[in-house]
Amino acid sequence: MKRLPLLAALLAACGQTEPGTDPGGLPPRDGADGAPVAGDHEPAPCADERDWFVRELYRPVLAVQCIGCHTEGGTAAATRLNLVPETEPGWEEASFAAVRRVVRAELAGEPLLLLKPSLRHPDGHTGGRLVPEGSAAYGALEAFVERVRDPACAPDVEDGVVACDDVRPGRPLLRRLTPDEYDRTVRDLFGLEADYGDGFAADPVVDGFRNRAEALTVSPLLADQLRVAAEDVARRVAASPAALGACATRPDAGEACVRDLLGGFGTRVFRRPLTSEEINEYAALYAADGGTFAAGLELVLSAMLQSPHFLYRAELGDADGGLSPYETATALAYLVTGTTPDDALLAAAAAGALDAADGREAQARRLMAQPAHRERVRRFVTAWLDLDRLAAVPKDTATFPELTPAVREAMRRELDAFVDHAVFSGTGRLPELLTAGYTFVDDTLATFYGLTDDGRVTPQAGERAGLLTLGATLTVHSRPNDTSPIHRGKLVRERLLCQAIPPPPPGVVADPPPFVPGQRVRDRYAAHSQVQPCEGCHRLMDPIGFAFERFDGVGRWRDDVEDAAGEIVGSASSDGAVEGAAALGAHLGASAEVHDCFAREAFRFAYGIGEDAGTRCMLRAVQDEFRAGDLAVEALFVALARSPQLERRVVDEAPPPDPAPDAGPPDAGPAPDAAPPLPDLVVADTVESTWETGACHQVTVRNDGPSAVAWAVELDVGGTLTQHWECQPAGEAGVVTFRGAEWNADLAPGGETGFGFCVSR
Amino acid sequence: MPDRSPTRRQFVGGGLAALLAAPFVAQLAAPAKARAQGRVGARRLVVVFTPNGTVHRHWRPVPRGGGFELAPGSILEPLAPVRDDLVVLDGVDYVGVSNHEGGMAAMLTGGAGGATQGASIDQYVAGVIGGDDRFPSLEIGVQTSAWGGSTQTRMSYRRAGEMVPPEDDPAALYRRLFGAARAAGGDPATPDRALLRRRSVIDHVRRELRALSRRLPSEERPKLDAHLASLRQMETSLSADPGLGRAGCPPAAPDLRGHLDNDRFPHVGEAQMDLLVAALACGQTRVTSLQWAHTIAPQVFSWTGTGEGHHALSHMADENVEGVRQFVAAERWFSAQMLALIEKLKALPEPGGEGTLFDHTLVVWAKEMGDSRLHDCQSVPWVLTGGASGALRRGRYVRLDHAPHQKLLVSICRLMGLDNPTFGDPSHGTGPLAEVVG
Repeated sequence: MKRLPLLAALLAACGQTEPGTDPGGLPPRDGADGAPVAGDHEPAPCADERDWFVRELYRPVLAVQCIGCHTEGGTAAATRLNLVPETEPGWEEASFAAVRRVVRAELAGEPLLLLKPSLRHPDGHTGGRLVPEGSAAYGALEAFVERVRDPACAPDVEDGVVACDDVRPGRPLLRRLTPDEYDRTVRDLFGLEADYGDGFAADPVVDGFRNRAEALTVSPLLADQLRVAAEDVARRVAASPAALGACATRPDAGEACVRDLLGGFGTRVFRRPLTSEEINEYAALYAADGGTFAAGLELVLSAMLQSPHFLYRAELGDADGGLSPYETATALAYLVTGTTPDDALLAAAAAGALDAADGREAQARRLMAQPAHRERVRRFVTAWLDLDRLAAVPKDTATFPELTPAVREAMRRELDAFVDHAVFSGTGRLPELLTAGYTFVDDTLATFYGLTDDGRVTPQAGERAGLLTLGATLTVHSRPNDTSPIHRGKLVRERLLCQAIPPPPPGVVADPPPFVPGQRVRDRYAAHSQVQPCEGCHRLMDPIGFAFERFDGVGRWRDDVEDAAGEIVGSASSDGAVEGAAALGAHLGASAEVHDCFAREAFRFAYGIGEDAGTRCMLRAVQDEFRAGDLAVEALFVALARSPQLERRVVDEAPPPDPAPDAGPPDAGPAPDAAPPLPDLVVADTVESTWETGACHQVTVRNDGPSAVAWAVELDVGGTLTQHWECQPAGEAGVVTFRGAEWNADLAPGGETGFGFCVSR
Repeated sequence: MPDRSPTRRQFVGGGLAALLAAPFVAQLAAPAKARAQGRVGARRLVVVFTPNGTVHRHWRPVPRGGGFELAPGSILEPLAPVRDDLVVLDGVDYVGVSNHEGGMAAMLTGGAGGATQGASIDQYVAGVIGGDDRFPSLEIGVQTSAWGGSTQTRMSYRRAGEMVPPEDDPAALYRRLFGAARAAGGDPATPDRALLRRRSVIDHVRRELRALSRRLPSEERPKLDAHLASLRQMETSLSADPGLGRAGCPPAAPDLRGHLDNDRFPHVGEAQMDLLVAALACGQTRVTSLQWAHTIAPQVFSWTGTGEGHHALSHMADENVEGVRQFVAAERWFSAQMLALIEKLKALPEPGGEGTLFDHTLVVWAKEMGDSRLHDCQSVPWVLTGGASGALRRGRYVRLDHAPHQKLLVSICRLMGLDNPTFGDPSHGTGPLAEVVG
């Protein structure tokens, strides 16, 4: 750790260091994106206002300490400060505008930007005192306030909300079939039972769902699993191929039959007609095998089931972005039924009936009458509330010996029956899903719950709250041997209010409250919901969870609980006190915030994308339609089917560059224009580590001159460069001139940066 | 608690750590991969993960003379029979990283920056030494996937953001290792008909992937690039010699159902360890990993007499004596599994060489956090073992002073005979730890 004392010395020499003020545990960093230093914020030319913001405030302070909560989906999303992460388009402009707004919002002449994080605002700050007065970060905030208030330096950025007069769809996509879609597709194509997907490598979870298009890839393990599944399906189908086409069962079936099948049944497999070239290639695969008809057919099927045209759903569009009719049909089929398009839908595509929203709606409504749609809705609800874990969620068998696998299975059926009823036999509206007083139990579950009847039951009034009080929900979102107000509150906060809770901060003893017989649960949890820094987040979860306390850790009603008083705080429009889960369900079911969140979750699940600056208006339109449709789940699916996402894609990319090699290898010798080190640069070269055949260096560069410089440093590296970072070297051995990387090439007066390299010798 | 909703930002950037530590790294014309030709080091690498940090007071060995002892009742005590094979590392920090997700993401990668570009050490080493093997690397899991793939549940990365999932089902793993393999004694020059048919399918699919890729916008192409790479690996694995007939090869097929059931956890682990060792004995791979559950593991260790989930146990404060006792019991159980793995490796001869499999293997036992109660990643407990073909000086308790774990990862590369100067984010540390490679 040689570098750190050096850096500290440099900072101390400038009289600028402020050690120990950073509550985020920032490691000391050199470089232009390092922790800001109080007093180091000389006014710079106004032209670089935005750059200054990013360099001095956004990256070192806001992106580290604030964005965890102050961003869309964060716990502080509803406040004035809504930051956009760097991974999102338009982040810089939006974040800049948001922070300026918080400067202009004042209390007694002081901007909220300074009052809130320093905990000087009379209403406090949910996150606590994150930026104490006098700290380096506070200095950066002050400097920004000064710049914003300087009329000579007002940048031409308009504050305000983006208007949604242009609803744009997302980008072109490939969407690999999920394990569930794979099985359902195989079932519907071939009429076979299929449970291959259960064994596929689990896909990444993004925003709570496992179907995010960008994360669905084919790993080596999955490629192997897909091969095994394809071979097995092909073997089963080739053994009795009648369903593929009449010719397949004739004794003289040969290549001509294979071509027939490719032209006919192949359309179902690829969800579009095969091109003649594709038919030729598959026929050639058949012919080259030289075995029996069945063996050759098996080979062709195996290849088709491993083909990208089967495994990926294309939503690519043409040069102008328009989806092909078959791409639209496929997107519509999986959206509404979670499986491959049926013949009628493919025919509608061929007839051009899906080009307009009305045509899509007609087909969507037809598909919504099918059992597959019910399964799709159940699938969405299950994924939304994370109930897939029911079968395996660990439980303490000593505490809950009655929770047998049969009971878990009965809870699964309860969930399915409830969703089916509420959506397709009841009002079909979201509020019913969150408020219904009834549920469905079989013998097993009735006994488990202590109910006397089975079938549709309505336990005592004010007990049940639809989805929230199903056995599956309460069992999954609990601890192995107890309830959990935290988990239950987190579920509501994240999945019904669409606010992400950041993980616990480091250095906190997160001992779960021990069970003490007779102690009230809220008293047990009081410790970490009243103490900083736990309180900031736990007040958002635990009080909601208390409302569920009349249900034990496996979903059984219990009377011996003193109270089930819960409360929602810190939401955009859903704050309020409730007594019991049913009241909580009623409260949530009436909340516009929850309605919007539900539509957002459906949007993510349906399209396999997250909303960003480009698609935000499309989401807004879906939310509006859902509300206009009286919060009916049916209206939501219709809105998703009518949306431009099923019609076209945004195309703004320049033609893909030729895969030609880049400009060539770096210069082998010193660059011809190598500049000598500038006199005002202070350079410290530290050998970070060294071994027999090499060494690594870390170098700090500080500009002590009066003006900004594009720095360059010459060093004898004592060997041959093998690696470098945060710099661009000219040369690779001997005396090498280093210049900054794109982002740290320029050093303001007093500015400092760092770079490093390794050599072999 | 299960965090089922990493935001897009966390998914792409790995959260705070990535924001802090994303140095611009370029490479010169010099080869990016470490050199391995004529390497002197362990022939194989086995990486083992167990979750939820530790309680140092119950984990630390007791220095005694020049060596150390494992105190009665301590977490590592079950490893006492092989104490002289161990290198216990105390004082390894994941600099600038904290919490479950951060630790899990950094553990084997050293962060997303640097020349290794976010690859985990198993994948990096496999990229250098595993290319000719049936499986360049083999990822094996024990109940890792109930929460899907995320920074909580994955530890292997091909590069930043690209997770390598493990096989959790022993029956499926057995089929993968010994199912579609070429028959014993078959001549690679005259492949059997089944293999020829599979190859023709792979060729066909490859042509389709390439043609489709040309029509894609650039941002979608990496998906098909990854798919093509997976096909290449599959083709190799189908063609390569599965090593049947060697000692321990093939093993008995696992007889196990319900690999997702909480109480089957020990049985699944046993079966997966057997298959891991068999894969090495059969020469099917040289780099393999065994991931027990995942960070925030909720498994209830009923077999050690507790009713609380492992994660909850890992948070018991010192005053909660009984809670800590139960956590230590669970952790001792993991030590016993490490002992079992070591003994299995010692029980089989080195194929075509001297000694046992163990003598030529480097086994690394990693965790994602230090003190689990504090959610921090300081003094994360690591244990190295295995003969490592003579590269590892064993029987040591090494106390380090806040050593950045990037240096430990470089050290592991050294023990494998690789000469890369950095691993992961070089701004935290470069070069090896003299105490480990010395």
